[in-house]
Amino acid sequence: MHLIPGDRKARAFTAGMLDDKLYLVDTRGGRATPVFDFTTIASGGWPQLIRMTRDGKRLFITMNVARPRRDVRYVGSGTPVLLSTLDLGADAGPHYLALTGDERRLVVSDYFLNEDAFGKVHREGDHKIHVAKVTARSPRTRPALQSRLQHRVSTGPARPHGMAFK
Amino acid sequence: MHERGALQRVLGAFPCGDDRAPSRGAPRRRAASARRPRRGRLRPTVPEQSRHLSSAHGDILQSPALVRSRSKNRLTSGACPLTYYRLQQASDRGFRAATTERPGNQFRADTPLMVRFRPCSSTAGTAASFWGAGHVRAGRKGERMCRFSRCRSVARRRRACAAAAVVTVRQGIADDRRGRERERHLFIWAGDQKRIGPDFLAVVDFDADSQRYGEVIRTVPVPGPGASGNEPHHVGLSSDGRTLARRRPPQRPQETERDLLLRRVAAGVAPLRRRPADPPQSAITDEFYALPDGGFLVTMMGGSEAASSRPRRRVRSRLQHRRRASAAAAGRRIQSARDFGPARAEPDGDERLHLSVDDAQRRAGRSRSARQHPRVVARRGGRSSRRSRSRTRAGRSTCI
Repeated sequence: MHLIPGDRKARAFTAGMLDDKLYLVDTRGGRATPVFDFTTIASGGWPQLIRMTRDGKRLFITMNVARPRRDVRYVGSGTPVLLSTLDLGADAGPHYLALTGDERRLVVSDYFLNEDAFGKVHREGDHKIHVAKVTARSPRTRPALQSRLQHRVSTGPARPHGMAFK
Repeated sequence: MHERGALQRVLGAFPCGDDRAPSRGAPRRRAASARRPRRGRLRPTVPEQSRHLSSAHGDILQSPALVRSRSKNRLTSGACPLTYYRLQQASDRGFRAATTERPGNQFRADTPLMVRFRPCSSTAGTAASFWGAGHVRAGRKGERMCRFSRCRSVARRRRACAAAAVVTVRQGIADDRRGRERERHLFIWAGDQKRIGPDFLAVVDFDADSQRYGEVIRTVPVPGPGASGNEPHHVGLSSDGRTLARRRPPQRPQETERDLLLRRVAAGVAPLRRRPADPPQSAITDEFYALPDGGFLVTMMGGSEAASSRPRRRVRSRLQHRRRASAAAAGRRIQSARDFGPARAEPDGDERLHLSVDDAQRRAGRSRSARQHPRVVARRGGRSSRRSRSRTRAGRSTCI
């Protein structure tokens, strides 16, 4: 769920986690319209968390199950256009993502939730923190940060989830 | 009269004084003459976006000072001499400048004009922009732009491009500095894979220019018994950067309801004290949204009993750093619709509109139609002041 920054109509985007659709929410009219279908690339991807740039033109969304992370470009008319996808690897399951203040780096935690025998959700990723360098056209990853994080966690790959900057 | 008519066309066909907007024919003749550029004069153009201007903006544009200045093809009112001076200076140096006026802004005497300079040469490609009068904004939909100046001399174009490049580099350096100042550390709330060691908060060097970029500076483990296997989830850093809020999901029956932890962050490196908050009748903290006044807007996916179908809530936490006893106090609750587990919070800038989306995982065991259609609750209400709290309680929730 993410309000479109600067939108006069106070519209928002939300992702249908189970129906693989991206909805444009008209908060004033009380309507939600599917504007993008994630099955065009991979079905059952669990699109969840959304971040948008301050100008409201680019939207980043993680998909837990499908491998690629979708980078959807938002066009002013309300029709998103897929700009690029970022493949994080074979075992990837990206979930939490955060944009830095200058919007040049996108950090993705590649782990969601797994409580062993408890609960229904058992979605682990590759337990890495990915840092993507956001360029004008598409994001690129910086693999150096992933490997360093892996080595410093003494008990092996951790379960990273939430992130914050300062 | 004729000039004012053309001016009205430029400004979006708003009536000015007793004059009415001219017909479509007259402005075209004026536009044909205006296409002949004159050195040192501003050449207003009419973008397509001008039709998006609201009528309320027309009242602003009917300011006499602004109209007078517009009629002289000047981009500023008389109250902005510095802006106009820089515009004129840039024009003489071969820049093409664009001014943008946000429709929501009141064009008053003390309002600086937002100016963007570009080199005249189209071969420059990338636009060089810098703070002309302290404000630079890119042209957006609904904004009016007036371009002026032209440059015939090749040498002047080259000088302009060189100056623009210098300005661009300086601006880039300033942006980089601001970015580095903002994010030097990355906090990662993580748990042990084998659930043997305690959950921990990792502090990572996130300065891109640092030699230790990407390295874990410090890990702060969760103290006490029950420190492992808590399945760390989302975190939130307060707007002042002093408090880190995180969740300890009580999804197991033996766990308590006290699951909202607030930590003070000292010197940007290490979290210090821990103060748990226990929002009443709420559980399973998910998303944090840092509020400008220092608190958080928190979505709670569960009721008083985590697995029950009682109405879930969003909690507004209130932080008072000066009062030790109430450093972490749970504030008011915002009740959502029944059987709704708010998982994501998205208030708008003034917090008059709160959006929450239902947690699809919790709905996995419900009916098929409920699983397939995401639910969004939009709630309209006031913000943090006492006066508006009652409005928030009585606010309107709409399921979308």
